[in-house]
Amino acid sequence: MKQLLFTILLLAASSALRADDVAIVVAKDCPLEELSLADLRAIFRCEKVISPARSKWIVLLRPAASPEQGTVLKSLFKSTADDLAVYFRLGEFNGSIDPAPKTIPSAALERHIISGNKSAIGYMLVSEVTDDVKVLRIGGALPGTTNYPLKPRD
Amino acid sequence: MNPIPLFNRPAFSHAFFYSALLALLPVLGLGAEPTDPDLIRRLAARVEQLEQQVKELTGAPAGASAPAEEQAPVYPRVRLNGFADFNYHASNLPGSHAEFELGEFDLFLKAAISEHASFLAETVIASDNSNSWGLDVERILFEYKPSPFFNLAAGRYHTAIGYYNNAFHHGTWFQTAVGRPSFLAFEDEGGLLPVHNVGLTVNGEIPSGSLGLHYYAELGNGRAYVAPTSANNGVQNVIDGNDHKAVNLALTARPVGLPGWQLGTGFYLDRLSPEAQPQTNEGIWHNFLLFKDARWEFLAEFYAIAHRPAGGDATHSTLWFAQLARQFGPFRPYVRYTHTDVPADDAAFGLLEVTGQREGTAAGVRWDFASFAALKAQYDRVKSDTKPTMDDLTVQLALTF
Repeated sequence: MKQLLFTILLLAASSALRADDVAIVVAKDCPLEELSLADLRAIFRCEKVISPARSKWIVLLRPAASPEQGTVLKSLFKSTADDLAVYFRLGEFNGSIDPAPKTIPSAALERHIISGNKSAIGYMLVSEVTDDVKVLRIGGALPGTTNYPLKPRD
Repeated sequence: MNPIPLFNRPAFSHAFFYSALLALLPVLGLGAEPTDPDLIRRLAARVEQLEQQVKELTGAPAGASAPAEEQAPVYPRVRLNGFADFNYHASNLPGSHAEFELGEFDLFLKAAISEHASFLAETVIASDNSNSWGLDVERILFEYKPSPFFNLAAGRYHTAIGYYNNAFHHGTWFQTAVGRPSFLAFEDEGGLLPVHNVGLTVNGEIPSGSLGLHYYAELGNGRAYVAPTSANNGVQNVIDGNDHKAVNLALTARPVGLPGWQLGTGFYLDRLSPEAQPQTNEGIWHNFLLFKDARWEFLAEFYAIAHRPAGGDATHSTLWFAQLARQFGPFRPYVRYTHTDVPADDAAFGLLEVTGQREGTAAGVRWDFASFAALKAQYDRVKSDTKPTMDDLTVQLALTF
């Protein structure tokens, strides 16, 4: 019984570790397979606006209180939620960002939008990824690997 | 006798095992179906809310299941934002008084009228030095954006000179400091530059990989240089003083490998018809360097301006400013230095009564006490070779909604 419990807890713990990584997802028919962290940051800050489909990226965010948004704020945006909101609002106001990224309340809805649009890009916890979307390598690494940059931090 | 290990105690191991299973149930997705009527109602409301968000995102009717790209968008979609500020101001200028000031009430409206076309209007209601309310349409633009490489707009816009002018318009909440650098003040507030223009503006991305290049090409009426007492506020909304149009070409770069950095340069050319002066050719070389991340903000701009009156010699003016700010939690202290050097015989700037050397030093702090409201306090000292040194204190409450 002790060994069984230990195995269950170990499996749950290791699974939880992998599931906490944040996956960058695009449509399955998007030609992109990999992005550098710098390119990814530029896309999510709407500085790099052209997708491989030669149209504008449709950038999707998650709610400020979600764990994946916390990871992305620290590892990708290197910003606070308030500062990011101001950044997008200023961009909309002066025309440098048009449109600002949309905040999507659920992973299911995000998968639905991304799977239907080759120029959409978003992120979600690895545990929320399904076959409807494609996970990109970031800086050559996939979620769950040691060098993957979008990991939760303490 | 050795004690029985904890996990080997029968009562504990059973209890621990079932507790662990119960704890894992939500993870495994197992659990009772919701039977509480309140819970069902809340879930139904949540589904309805999500469907509404699907509709907003895809333009599709709520509940539709087709992919987003197959849906017919709904137009027009109108968005309205507002900005306001309220100030306390004290200065040692002769004849001035410490006073509370109503700032600008700025309404920003953007309406998407088709997939690629939109309408933008920024209207400011403010009180002037006569204590009367006035209404100014600061920006009004019809925009057509068929691709990231080509965005066309017609109407009244902020000229793409430097960074500050086109990034910060009339909402003071966006700006770290209480206001714009002195030479970038609006035309009716003593500014030297063609801040607004009426005409056509085109901009877009330049396929340049990691350089992140962006171009601007603008054609407009240009600015009228008039005396401060003139009824003409300097922006040629309807009537241009001559047939020549102002041309502005600018290039900016946001290198992917240098996150937070942005730089730009450009030329602005026009022929002016200053009041009671010969026609004057104007050339402005404008440059900026910006760094901004979550903690630091650095912005520097440099302008070299040449005015050549018909049959006369050219005069050359230089204007520049640098601003540095650092975020500490909700507080952002900042400093700004502004330098203006305008020859006394400059035909256009002479009309504005702003010739000579002028150095402005400002220090202040911004406190973002709420997500969409900030309190700023700024001290200014302005030295000039033509006027007495001015000391100035401004406290500003700025907000947006």
